[in-house]
Amino acid sequence: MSVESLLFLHLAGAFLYVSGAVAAAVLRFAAMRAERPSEVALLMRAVRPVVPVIALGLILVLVFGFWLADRLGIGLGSTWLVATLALLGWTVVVGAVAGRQDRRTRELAERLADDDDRPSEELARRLRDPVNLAFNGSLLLATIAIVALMVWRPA
Amino acid sequence: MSFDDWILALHVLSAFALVGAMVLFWILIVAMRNLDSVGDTIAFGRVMRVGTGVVMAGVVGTILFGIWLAISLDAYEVWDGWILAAIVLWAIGTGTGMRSDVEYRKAVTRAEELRSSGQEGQPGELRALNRTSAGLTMHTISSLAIVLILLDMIWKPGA
Repeated sequence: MSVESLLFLHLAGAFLYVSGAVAAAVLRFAAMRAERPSEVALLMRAVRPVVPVIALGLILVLVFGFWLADRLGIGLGSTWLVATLALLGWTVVVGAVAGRQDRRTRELAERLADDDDRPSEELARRLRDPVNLAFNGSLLLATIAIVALMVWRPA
Repeated sequence: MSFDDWILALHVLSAFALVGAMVLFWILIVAMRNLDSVGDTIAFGRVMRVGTGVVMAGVVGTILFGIWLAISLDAYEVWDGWILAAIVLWAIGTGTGMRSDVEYRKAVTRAEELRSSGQEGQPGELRALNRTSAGLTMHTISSLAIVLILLDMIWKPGA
């Protein structure tokens, strides 16, 4: 496979991964501003199709990233590459934890929507849970940092 | 890092913003296909506004920093075939993307009109607007143009 093909597949994966992360963050934060539980449920349900987009992006990024690094003779011990892999690991682990919390919040919103669809304090509290927000915020920041590391390649 | 490296970085970051928002719009398009409720349409409309802002930043950043690079770097000229092709594709992608936004915005506008007149829905009307085939076609063309630009940027035919 040519270097151009590897680069295209690596970049396509990066675009999918970053796009999915940004879309999930926008929908998650939009859910915080929604008034009725049905709207919260709707916005959080829309995050579900984003998950396979992120997963596919991650696979393409890693497979063709390593292949490309090998082809171009880039050492796997490079600081920027190690930092990028550490951040990717962080997004996978924290993404799984935050995703599970968000799924429980969505299920609560769906139950409330089925009942009387009136604003609920518990739902608002879960949507503004500082730990969950910190996790989701860190995912977005880590994604931006990965893009910056890939573009600038410091040290 | 040289000044050109910074411009290249900003060019690439703009591209990420542009593609990120395009994917967000795809998710909204799929999610909105069965919507018939005023509240739900307005909720997605708010997300759409965020996406539009990010698209605008990406569209302006890619062309501005891209042309700057073509002028600044000795290896390329703005009139190189692959750069002209990218500019044409960028124009097609931007034009069809804007047209798509107009089509999908109709549903949000109608939902806001219905809410302000105290109605919570017109059975079938919002669903038809949310399923606009013109909007879908325009967004598909816009997305294809972006993929072609990526191919053009990597292979640089004729360079």
